[in-house]
Amino acid sequence: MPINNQDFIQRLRAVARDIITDDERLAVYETDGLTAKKQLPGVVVIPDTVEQVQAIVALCHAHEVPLVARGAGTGLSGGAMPHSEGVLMVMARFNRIVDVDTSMRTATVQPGVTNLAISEAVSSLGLYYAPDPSSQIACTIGGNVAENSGGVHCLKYGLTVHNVKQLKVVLPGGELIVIGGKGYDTPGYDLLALMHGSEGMLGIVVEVVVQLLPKPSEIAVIMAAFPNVVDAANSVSGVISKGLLPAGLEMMDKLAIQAAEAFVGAGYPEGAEAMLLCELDGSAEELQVLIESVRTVFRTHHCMTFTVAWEAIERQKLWLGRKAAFPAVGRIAPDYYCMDGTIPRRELANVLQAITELSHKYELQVANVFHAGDGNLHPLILYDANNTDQLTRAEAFGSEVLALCIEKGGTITGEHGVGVEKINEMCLQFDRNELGIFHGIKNAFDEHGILNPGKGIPTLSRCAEFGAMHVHAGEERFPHLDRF
Amino acid sequence: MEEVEAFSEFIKKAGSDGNPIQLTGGETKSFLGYVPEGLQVLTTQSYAGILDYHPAELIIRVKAGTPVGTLNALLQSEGQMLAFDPPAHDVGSTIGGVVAAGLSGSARPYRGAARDHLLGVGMVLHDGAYCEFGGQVMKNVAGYDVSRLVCGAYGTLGLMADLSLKVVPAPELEKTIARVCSVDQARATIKSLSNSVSPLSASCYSGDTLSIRLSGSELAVKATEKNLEGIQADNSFWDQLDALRLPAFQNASDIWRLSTEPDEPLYEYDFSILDWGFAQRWLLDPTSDPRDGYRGVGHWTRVRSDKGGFQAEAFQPLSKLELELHQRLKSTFDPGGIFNPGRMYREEGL
Repeated sequence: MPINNQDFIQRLRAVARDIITDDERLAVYETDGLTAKKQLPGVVVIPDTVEQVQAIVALCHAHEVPLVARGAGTGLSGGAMPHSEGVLMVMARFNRIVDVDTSMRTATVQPGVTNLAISEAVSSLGLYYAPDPSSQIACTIGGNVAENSGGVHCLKYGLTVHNVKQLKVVLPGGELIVIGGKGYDTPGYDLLALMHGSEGMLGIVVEVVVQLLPKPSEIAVIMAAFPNVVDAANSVSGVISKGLLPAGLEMMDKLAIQAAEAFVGAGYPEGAEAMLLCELDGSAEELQVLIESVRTVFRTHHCMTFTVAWEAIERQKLWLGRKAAFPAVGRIAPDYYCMDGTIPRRELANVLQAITELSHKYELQVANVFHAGDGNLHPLILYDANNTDQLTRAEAFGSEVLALCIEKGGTITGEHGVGVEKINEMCLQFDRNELGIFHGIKNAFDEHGILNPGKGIPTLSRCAEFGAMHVHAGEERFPHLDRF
Repeated sequence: MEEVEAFSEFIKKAGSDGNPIQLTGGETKSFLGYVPEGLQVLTTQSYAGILDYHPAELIIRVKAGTPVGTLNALLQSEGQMLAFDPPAHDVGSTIGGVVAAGLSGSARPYRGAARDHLLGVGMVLHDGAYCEFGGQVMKNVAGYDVSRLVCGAYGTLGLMADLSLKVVPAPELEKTIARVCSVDQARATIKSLSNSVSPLSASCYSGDTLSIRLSGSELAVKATEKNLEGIQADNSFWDQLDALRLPAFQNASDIWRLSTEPDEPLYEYDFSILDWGFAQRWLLDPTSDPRDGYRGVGHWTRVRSDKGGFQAEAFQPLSKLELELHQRLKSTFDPGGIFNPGRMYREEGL
């Protein structure tokens, strides 16, 4: 449904010539990686310059028109889902690597540059950008900042927030501000951290300075098969307890192994109930020692096979299977619902067991692929969207998994963000005071609430409708709300 | 939680009386920033101890008043540590105070800052409500990152009662190597180590001596050490440096810190100590405000001033736009202005 305000469209056109208003072309942007949520944008605008972005934001601010920024649209929580009455601003043309500083090991990039393109551009210099979400071939650095994206290497090298030094941001009034710097701190509050994971609700990122790391001299990837998920989960805790910090430590269960193997032929052990991929880096001598330590732990937990890939091509093949696990699962079921809860590592075995039980309860298959080292689960619930009963069951299943994550001391989202998808579950994790602070922060930046409205932070009335809100012991439920 | 309830009552009363509070931990950082006289004091010092620690999780949740030394000793007994070298200015320095001031030690450029290892906080808000942000897991993007926002906010946003920190395995071997060399040689040595995969974990050039700390596996430390000139020095040097207890600091009455980019020229400044790979620079007893006429990047902090001298804000003033954002954030968290008013920016009440 195109926006029905010709005056506004005309003003928008005066700012940026590339505007889409017809349904057919608007439909391209109706969803992001969370395809279950679709919405035609009011209007799409594709700016070329920072000045245009500033003018667009200022225009929306003045007219109180909702504005949603979009990178590559690979987000999994509907953070870039358009607003029917609003502007969708596509950042695709900001695709230039502006500068690489080899002495400081930084790259200055525009927000539409893909995550992988940064590492590729600096590879010949012996450098790389560490955070590597599975969608890295397509996802953009601007989106990574908005979601504080992780990846398979954050156990050792951190999330986006740990690897970004400076941002240029257009604030909701249209002003341009530089946050952070190439040094190690700035005066005042840590606005750089606050911007990370703020899901495009506080400002629009127009330039990012990332920290690059020197490539490790040697890398080895261990692939190990286990007779059950409990042994694999206990191996993960065992490795960490031993004082080892692998660059990545990932787990896949039987269904995920089979799907990935059928899709890319990575050489995974198809008969195994669970598999771990463990990446180690360092000098060749160090690696020998580390590999033996890992082997000892895995053997204690009944590992059945243990192979080490040293060559880049072999390692890439192993990671390819893992990174392609979501689309691989997409091939064995019409649809899947990807969860993103994080739990304390010691609860892994228990939670996996509980997920299996829920799978029986809801009569839906589930494939588990996750960042085991971080305790970040990605259960993929398989369903058929054309079957409304299955969709309802999948959503109820997912919601129960997230409630379980909170119960075990974890969180509803480790790296995919809240978006529209987990907005109800936010009410389970936070109480009204905490939500009040979030709304206050939003308001401090964006008093008219134009940036990405309806995402990330639920209103208190929404929580009341959802029928649940986190309450601390002894507190009355919704004392601030009128009783019906 | 009895103590937290007491904090809550205290804050509620202060709010309704409109009576501002000086929030403190061990009161060991009163030299940093502006502390108004005569405020009622609320300290977290008695709220000390571990709330949750499972070494295999690499996370510890502690009460804010826990002394840094106590925390380090406990982690050490489990073969772990806080990676950011939290500076302990005195025995009474608390982990809550270190995080509230956003202070990181010598490892900052190589292993990250306090904020990088902060996973969650439990805090008491202006209305007495106890709230939790972040949590006890490595990855968490639910809601805005309030924990990191209060890290370095000097208690101006609320009372941090407890905090969850990421811990890391302690290195197998740690060695400090010192050698006499020129400033250019020092810079080149640090650069070549930090721009390759190396166990470099701290660096400092002071007087004419370059000190380097290597931390990691025995293999890695020894392999790097082979290529470095110099003699072995005591690892305790770094704690002394981070706590401003080196003789140069102790003999100074006016200590200024410049936080900048490592490659920034030294200009005409006669820095006494250059650490963090030349990104942190210490200027002792200048005769005028060093910010006047400074033409480089970075920001200055007047870290300690014992003898008054010329007037100067402790922290580099914010731009108009930054200040507006800060003021709006401050009034969200602390509408009555009761928490540490003026600690960061005196005039603005921030």
